[in-house]
Amino acid sequence: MNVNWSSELQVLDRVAPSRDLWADALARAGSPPPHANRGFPGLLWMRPWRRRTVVLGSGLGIASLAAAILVALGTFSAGAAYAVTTNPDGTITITMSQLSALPALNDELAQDGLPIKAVPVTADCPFNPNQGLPTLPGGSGSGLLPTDSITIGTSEIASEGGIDVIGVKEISPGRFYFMSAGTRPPGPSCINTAAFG
Amino acid sequence: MSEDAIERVYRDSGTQLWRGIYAFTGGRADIADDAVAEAFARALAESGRIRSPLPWLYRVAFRQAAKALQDERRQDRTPAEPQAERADDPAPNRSLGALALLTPQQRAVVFLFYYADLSIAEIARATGSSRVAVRVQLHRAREGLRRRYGSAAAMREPSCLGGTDERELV
Repeated sequence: MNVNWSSELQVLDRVAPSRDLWADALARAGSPPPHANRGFPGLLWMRPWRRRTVVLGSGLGIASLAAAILVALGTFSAGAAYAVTTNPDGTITITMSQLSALPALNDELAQDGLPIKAVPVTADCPFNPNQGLPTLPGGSGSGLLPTDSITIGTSEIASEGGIDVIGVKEISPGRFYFMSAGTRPPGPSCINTAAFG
Repeated sequence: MSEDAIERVYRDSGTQLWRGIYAFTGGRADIADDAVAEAFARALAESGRIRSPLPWLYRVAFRQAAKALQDERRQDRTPAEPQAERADDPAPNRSLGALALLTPQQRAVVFLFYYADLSIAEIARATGSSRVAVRVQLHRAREGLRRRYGSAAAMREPSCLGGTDERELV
């Protein structure tokens, strides 16, 4: 069988979108999803913050408030400031060693088209995602070890046209607390420390 | 990058992008519609940080389409069904001709190389893979047809060993 791809691919000249997808894209980018405005001033909508789950090497699991997010203790190659890994199950793992890597990390996430934004946690940030929402039980990771990576399932938030915003709080060099929330893009540029409880 | 600039990309290349996703999915216009609309929606949201919109859009749309196919396979899969017996690719549309004989990944790189006329480097960026992986997929697309039909398929192929992005004829 001799295949001339130039002619074979001409079959695609006969197919085209059945509707104006630009209008569809504008609607997705500009319109809030049906469950918008759940009480956050300044945000169209926001899912409640989800507390991370830390999985220890022994297999000991600590309860998570949401299945969509998982923080795992992992190894990190020396020298790299961050790493973004797509897992076989579709989740994304972000590994960090330096808080200063956030801008470069966000650039890569954007270049990859991933609906994720990582922001620092600061005491003076006006944004506290817990305002207006029921307080989550437990503390901000008390009893849990700081870690260096977070694994996020983005399909749910992406299907709603949103992004996952990760609050990153450095506890010690190379060790962080992470929290994640769904929001409308572009999302906040920081998260108040109080959000961690 | 402004909204107007992204709209220009859509007007200039949106249909081609859609055809790439259509080929990748084996002729699934519904998934192509959704993936392309979603890619441009995300481009609008991330417009300030996109340097090369077309490879970025391809990558987002391919990823979106791959996830849609994956979700469909999961929904269709019954617990008693051995996963190994599942085809990696849902039955492609026969109107795709020889393209239907390829895997989704091979269809994607064949489309981008022979139809969209992208370089190996651009295809690597568009598909989120390495240049070597792109060359391998192109090579396998040719070899797969050769094994199936017992003769060499006359397709242009980049130099798999040369390490360049030249669009060479073999």
